[in-house]
Amino acid sequence: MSAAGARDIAAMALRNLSRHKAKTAITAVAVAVSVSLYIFMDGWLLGMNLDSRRNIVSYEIGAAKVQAAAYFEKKDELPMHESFAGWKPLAESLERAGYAVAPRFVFSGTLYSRSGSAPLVIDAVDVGLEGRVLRYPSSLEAGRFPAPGRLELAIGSMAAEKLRVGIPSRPTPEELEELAGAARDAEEEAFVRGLYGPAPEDEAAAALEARKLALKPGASEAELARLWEILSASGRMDVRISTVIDQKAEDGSGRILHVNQLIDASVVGVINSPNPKTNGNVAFMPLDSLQDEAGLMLGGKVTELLVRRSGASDAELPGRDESAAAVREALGPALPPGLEVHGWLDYVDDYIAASRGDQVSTRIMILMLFVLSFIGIANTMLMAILERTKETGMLRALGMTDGQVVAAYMIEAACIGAMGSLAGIAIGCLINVPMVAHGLDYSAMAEQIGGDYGYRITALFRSAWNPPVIVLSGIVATALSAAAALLPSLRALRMPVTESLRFE
Amino acid sequence: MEGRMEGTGGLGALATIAYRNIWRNGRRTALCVVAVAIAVFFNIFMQSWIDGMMDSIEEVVRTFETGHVNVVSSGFEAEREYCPVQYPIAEGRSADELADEIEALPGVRAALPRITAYATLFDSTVKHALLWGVRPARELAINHWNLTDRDDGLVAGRFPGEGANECAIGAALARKTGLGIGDKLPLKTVSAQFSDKYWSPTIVGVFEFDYARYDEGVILVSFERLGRILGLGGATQQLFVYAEEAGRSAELRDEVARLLGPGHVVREWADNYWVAVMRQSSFLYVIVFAVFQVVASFLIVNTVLMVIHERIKEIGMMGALGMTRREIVLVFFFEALILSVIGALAGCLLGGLVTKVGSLFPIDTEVFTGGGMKDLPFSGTIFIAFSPANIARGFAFGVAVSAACTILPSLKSAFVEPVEALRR
Amino acid sequence: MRTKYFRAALAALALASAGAAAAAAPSAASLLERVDANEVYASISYEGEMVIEYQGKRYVKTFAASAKGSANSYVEFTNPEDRGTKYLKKEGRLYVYSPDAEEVMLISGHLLKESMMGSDLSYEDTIDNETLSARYVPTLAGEEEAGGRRAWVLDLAAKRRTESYPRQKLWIDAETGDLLRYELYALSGAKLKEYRLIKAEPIGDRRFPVEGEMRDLLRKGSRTVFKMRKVVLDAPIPDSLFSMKSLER
Repeated sequence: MSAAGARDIAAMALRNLSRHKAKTAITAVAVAVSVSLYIFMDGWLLGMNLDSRRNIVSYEIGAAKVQAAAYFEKKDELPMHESFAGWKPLAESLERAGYAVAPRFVFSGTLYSRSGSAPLVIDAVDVGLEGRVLRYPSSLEAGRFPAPGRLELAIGSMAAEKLRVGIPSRPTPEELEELAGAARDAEEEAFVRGLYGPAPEDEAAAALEARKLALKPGASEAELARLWEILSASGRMDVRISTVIDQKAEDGSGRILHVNQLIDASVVGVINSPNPKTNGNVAFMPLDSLQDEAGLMLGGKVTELLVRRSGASDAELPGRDESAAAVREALGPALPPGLEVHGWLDYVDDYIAASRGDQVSTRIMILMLFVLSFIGIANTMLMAILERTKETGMLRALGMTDGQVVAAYMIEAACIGAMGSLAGIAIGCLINVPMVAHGLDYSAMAEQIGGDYGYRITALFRSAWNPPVIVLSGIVATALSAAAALLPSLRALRMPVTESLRFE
Repeated sequence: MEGRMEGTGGLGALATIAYRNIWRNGRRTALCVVAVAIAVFFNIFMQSWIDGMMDSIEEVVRTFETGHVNVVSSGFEAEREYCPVQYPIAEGRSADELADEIEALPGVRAALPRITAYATLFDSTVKHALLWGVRPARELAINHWNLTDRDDGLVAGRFPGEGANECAIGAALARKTGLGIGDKLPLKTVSAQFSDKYWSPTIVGVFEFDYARYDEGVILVSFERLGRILGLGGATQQLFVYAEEAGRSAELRDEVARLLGPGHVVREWADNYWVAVMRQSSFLYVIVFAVFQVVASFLIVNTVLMVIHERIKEIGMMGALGMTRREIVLVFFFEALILSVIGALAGCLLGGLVTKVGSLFPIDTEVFTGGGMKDLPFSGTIFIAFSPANIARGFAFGVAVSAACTILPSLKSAFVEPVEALRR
Repeated sequence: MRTKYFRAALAALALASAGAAAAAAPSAASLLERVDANEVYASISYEGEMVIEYQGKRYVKTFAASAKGSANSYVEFTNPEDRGTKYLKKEGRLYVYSPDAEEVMLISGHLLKESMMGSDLSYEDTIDNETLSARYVPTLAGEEEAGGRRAWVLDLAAKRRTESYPRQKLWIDAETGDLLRYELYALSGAKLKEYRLIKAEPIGDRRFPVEGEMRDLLRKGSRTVFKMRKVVLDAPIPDSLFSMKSLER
């Protein structure tokens, strides 16, 4: 086929498009909806995925951890005796290589508050360095982050609720009495009572036969700070950490000996970050407050170093220069034997499982949607080709080859697909703009629909841009559209020319 | 324009015309039907899939976590994470007495006593496990323990006899400890009187409930034996009440609570956190279904538009013969409606068939998740739910959306000027 | 067998002969040495009772105990819930027979770390035969009144960093030598547990703490009272008691 011939066929296909403008438009719209929905869903999924990944990296782990090999093996048991000393030179050499490093000593214990106790995982962190690697220190629901050198705790919001420390957002009437009882004078009592009002209609709470009150939504920061101060003065924030310090026996027998420890501390903040892990039975306290007998006799030992590239933005996931291998290389001979570097993915099996499950079902949905669009285009083309049986016969009688006929119809279909794709991409992107910028606050929706079950669902879902998929979905939709014309046009060609000329 | 419809006879006639018109182009009709069918099928399938997932969670929750109505003492509730055994239900009363009393309530199928307690194993690779004291025979008359195969979940051997010095362990636990039938499983647990209790039951069975938490960490023992070891004196730590109808759980909960009086926490299974969360998120799917149906409806819209275009002469004729515009519009609307009804029917048929077949074959969720979702009360396998209600809903939804989408294009026929149309 | 339940008894038993005639302030080391020395006896047998009060409930456990020297001991529970549970300490190993298990089991490995019978002592501790003098450096912290009696206060600081209770404080009756009270401290110096002597009786030529109370300060409203009856000291006990056979009997 000559170039001119091809141009003619393309021109013919285009002209044919305008013969049924409404039909073309609707078919294109169907394609557009599929494409835009795909772009939206993909962006949503990617956003969710990226968000949880970012949350894990930015609030929980960092890009990589340096740990004793023996610790990593048993990491679920939090074997505090597998700690290591001398982390400072390691941190220094990593910092020279452009990394931010935060040391941690993780241990488990029981936290006793005035009203109860709960088993807790406590992360002893370097207050100054922690903020350079992780973001949760600024995700406080109330209060502040512990100050260095002091026996202070910031605890997860769910643990706070259970232990009745911090400022309750939905107290029962009895609990409110307890809060009011903390007041030192009548004015303070009025102030405390004034901050709470009846909770909005709440079926779940009613079902559990517990009428609840709620913190007034308009409470200012200064008011909350004052409430915290009043409650703190009453001893509500005083807790004791009971733990056992596991140490290897000095005689080298490998026996683990246990030293009882009881630490008086006060809760100074409640954490509610986008990563639910930081809001559960977790507490954070300054590492330097636990170095001696008043703490855990750490003597500079830590269980892990969290590593992230210095100045890495929260929006980014760890790059290649933050992989375990890269960190290991940066450490070089400084990495003592017995210590290992593990990337963040080594710590999050549960998350990976959940996200994989989500992806599959969503992709199946999208596939079905494309099938629907495909049928739509096939329908349109079938109609178009059927309608023009006579014309097709004429064209063939005039010497057009079968290939040219098929090409003409396929180009026509591809054009519909392309128009739809372009529109779809435009719409998809338009939807994506606010979804990426603001996201969807699912927690408010969840609360409205199902009420408060005592759990906070931390959920702000935000989409993400995925340019390759955006472009690809358009190309695929166009190609699929063209393919949709193949069968009906071949079918039209099976009819002898003479017969098609007579077709009504 | 005096044309008001003259009753149903007129409508019937219009519907007949519409129906005849459908068969003027079989292929087009087929495609429309297929499109609607696909959308309806998809909705039914997805809804069944989601239902299957919810069912799986609910069933696991009902079987292992709560029953329809769950009873514990307030003391237990306050320290739930430690599985304390020193807070039996209605202290001083035997489990059987209580169970009989609850079972006497109308609508109660069974009240099953259960005890869970932490155990320290002598084995040094697996140090901790959960003792699960149940009465296998009574339990299995009510529940399937393996929700995949709908059976007792035994892989080998049998369940421990009543009061016997025996146990059955999960397959994963057996693998990890390297123990099998005939071996002893030495362990320590702490009784209601804070005494250390050493026990070494013989393994007589290995089970696989397809529920990771149980397969990995549960030692199934006789309720009587465990109660005796823990010094519960015939009392029980928890009661799992099963209703004749799950839907009556809330009422039943209130009745049981009244019966037991204060000092107890009585819960309905729907209060379970995971069940609540799943239910909350299901509304998102409705949006997705709607989009599907709309996309499928575009096909019908298209068809209607084309048909109007094709039959512009006929419309002129119909107008000339005295049909009102309203009647003409209705003919086209009915045509679209019939298409969507046929499509929806086809979709329902297909959806019903596939979900019926699907409901017979388990789907291994590990294919999607790669395992690792241990925190979720989620069995390793789900069944697609076959539900006539879903099918009916899919049908209604499909027809309604398609019909709504075709009203506008049908109206187009009303703007055809008969005289002009006849001249074309 | 030196479990925590019996520790009160045993420690006091040790003090018994230290007793009587401490007129002038003795040196801290000698006080503690005597405490340790007094754990040395040919044999002891008694019937014990343990009453746990917790969360408004009361649990009573009874047992019969015998010990020969510090290496061999045997305890058999007799209250209905625990009847037939027997412990044997022999050659540094700890065995248990439980009617539920229907066999003798050796407590070893990670199980030794667990607390024994819900007490503040782990099994590991009960195997350890080291004396207080070997583990702690004592200082005489003065003289105080305890339970209406004049008492020497002994402050014990652990020699090793790995001691379970880095600090203990003992109150020793200046006149009778009874261990009137002791407190166990966490590393931070926070008090974890306290013991109070309720009743001491003369048995033979010693004074014996036949009743004492232990409180775990973290468990609100919880206390455990130990009582010893029919204490017989230095009577011959057949070696056959400290054997596997007697466990399985």
